[in-house]
Amino acid sequence: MKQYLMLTNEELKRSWKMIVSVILAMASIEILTVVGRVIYHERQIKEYMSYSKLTESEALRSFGKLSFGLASVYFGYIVLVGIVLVILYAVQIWYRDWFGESKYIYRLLLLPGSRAKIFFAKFTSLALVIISFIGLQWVVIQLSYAIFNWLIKDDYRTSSFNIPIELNQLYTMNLIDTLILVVLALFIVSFLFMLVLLERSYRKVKGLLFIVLEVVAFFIIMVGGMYVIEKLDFFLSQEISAIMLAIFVLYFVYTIWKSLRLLKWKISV
Amino acid sequence: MLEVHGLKKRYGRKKPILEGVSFSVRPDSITCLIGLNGEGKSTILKAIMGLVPVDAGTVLVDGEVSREKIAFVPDLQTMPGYMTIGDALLYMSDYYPDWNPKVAEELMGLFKLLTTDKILELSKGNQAKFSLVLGFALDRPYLLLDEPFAGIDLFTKEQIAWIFSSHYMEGRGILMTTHEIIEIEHLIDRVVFLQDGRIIDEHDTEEMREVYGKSVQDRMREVYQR
Repeated sequence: MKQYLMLTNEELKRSWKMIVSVILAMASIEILTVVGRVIYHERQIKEYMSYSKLTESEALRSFGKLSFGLASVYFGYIVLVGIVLVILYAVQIWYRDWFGESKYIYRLLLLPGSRAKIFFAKFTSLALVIISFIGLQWVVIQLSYAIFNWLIKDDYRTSSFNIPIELNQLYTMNLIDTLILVVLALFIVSFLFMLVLLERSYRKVKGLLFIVLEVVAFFIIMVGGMYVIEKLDFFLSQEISAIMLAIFVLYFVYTIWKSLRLLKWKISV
Repeated sequence: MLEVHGLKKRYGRKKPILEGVSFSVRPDSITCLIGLNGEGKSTILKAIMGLVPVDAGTVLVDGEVSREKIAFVPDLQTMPGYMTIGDALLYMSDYYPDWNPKVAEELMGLFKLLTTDKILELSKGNQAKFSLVLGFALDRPYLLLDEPFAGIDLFTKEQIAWIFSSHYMEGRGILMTTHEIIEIEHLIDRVVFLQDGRIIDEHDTEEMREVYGKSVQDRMREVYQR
């Protein structure tokens, strides 16, 4: 347990500069897009007023008020970039041990005790990054909403707090939904870990072949399973959800089990 | 005794690199694994440590399947790039219950290594010395060294060779691969010749010198130039 905690700390220590830089950059860009959108909106109204010789209220009536949803319309793209970066980090966290400045993978695999701690240390690092990312995104939304309200004239904005539809799905502020989001993200991380370990174990053509087989198997099990169950028209919707959840949990466990076996028996430096 | 039985390894569809390699390393002795480039010497060391999976074969240490009695010094840096020597020593003492800080300190002094130096900024010679510190400071009865003399200057080689005749060697069984046989020939107790994935010859060096009147290098020429 102590070694697992130390390794997790080591993994985070190796990446913290990169993680903090990315998070700060994303938060700054998000806030700047809100500020920029407000300035742009106000300038547009002023230009419209002087061009059409209208009063402010007339211009607002025909031009429309700015909602927070519209001002934060780019958040979705930035979150998408964040998701891509987390996926890249999930791959990089393994490959840097083979292709970094040193061959740290030798040291890791030679540590006393079970190799499972290597997997779980990397997995925990990713989990912490994902949770921080979601939490900070929530903070950035609140912060940019406060900045939005402070920056824009009251008459120029709608009073309701609404966020873009794609973010609404991600940040419902509901504990269960957030938990589902985290578990789904961790499943993707675990699946990616398994693919990386397959490649690092079998290498080249054989490695690629195993990756393709696992991806195909995943689609057959998850998507195919869902399709068949719905086509059968035999189960209630709650039963379908329970079956899908069971398949998902089993597959999640399988990806971890497979990764641990690869680390123990097949991995190669 | 470190015993290697019937190691077999093939990479993809290529010709097997190891075809049933068996040999043993006695405690308190230095065994040298000799072979031309690409004969699988490093693969054998990695296989013993479980760093490459083998197709067949077993490794026994004092009759048990356990690697916790073996220390391995590969011919490359294995510590994360950002670490200083001090960080790395701390790392070793945190993770390895059999880490001996006293030996590490002595060897650091002997090699004139500074704890503030960044590992990846060390010269090739100092990197090799530091790797040896990491290996020798583990209280383990067997030590595997992969090309400990590769690419380093004469004086560093002499310093490293000195360790093999020092008290740090007491009770240890060493298995090493090297091409620099001349410098350490007088220290080696046993040689194992490897060719085409097989052990083709094995000798106690003393016996080879006394009975056959040959040095290790002479025997190497006979084996690999025929």
